[in-house]
Amino acid sequence: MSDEPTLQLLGGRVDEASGVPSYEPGATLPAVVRLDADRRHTYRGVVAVARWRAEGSGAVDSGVGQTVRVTSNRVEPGPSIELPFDYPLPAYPWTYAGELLTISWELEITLDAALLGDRSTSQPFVLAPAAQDGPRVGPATAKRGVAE
Amino acid sequence: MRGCSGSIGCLALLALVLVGLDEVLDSPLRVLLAVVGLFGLWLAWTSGAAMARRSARPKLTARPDVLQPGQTVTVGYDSSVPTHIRLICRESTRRPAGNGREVTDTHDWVVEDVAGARQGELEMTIPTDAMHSFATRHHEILWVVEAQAENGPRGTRGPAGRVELTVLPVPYTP
Repeated sequence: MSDEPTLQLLGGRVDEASGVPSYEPGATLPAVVRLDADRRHTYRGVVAVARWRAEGSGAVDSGVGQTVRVTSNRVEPGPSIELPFDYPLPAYPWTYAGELLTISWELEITLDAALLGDRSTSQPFVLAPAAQDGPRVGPATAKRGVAE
Repeated sequence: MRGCSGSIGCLALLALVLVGLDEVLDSPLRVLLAVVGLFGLWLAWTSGAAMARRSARPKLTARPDVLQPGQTVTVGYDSSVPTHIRLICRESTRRPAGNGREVTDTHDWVVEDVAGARQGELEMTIPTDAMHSFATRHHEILWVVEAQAENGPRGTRGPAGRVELTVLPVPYTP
């Protein structure tokens, strides 16, 4: 139980619709992985990857961003540790919530535990540019979910 | 196409005239010519009708057709009848429907709608907060300008023309 990592996303701005942090496409997402003091296993490293899912009326399409090695050092049992890292976000696809389909993102970190089986956790985030001045229609936008 | 359709029609009529000349043809050949003639007339009729439909379809151009949110596209249109011109963001999803078939669901967000257009140019703007174009195996977000003739036959919607746009994601500038 105590071997479960926690992931905290830092920075960004809070998306009003979902309450999760929002980041500019192509920007850097700062985050930190925390491991408790009473963990029992040794891990060969920690990696982070962003995943997107496009979901509609049944089928799901998905993709991944860059895989980033948070640490290549062995993580032995011991005191609690924090592993800060910066994740380079992809430029697209942007988060979207329309009438028929949604595109969502999450950042997943995985502890490489070899034969023990990997441990992973994830946090959702919004990948979308900040609102700008100019004509808006709402529905066809990344802000989304606005009635026609 | 028009010349081809006319040629087929002339050949078909010639075949039918030959069928009528008793002194020229024996009966087996007359039957064959009659079939060829009738087929030719049908072909001429259908291709002519298709050509008429095509000529009634509003013609559209878009410059540029690759752009970013907030940018403006100049739409050129040419129609013989009053036409609705729409800037549309179209969501579509494909889902399995059994027996190996797939069904596509679509939803249109009409961003701009200009009625009564015949010939000319107009400007349409991609909203600044618009979603970029997106396409995967089962999901698509398509930006398109469509022109729909307002008066189809017997109250139906008239022929439509369309041009697809590619809306790019805005590059990040810190």
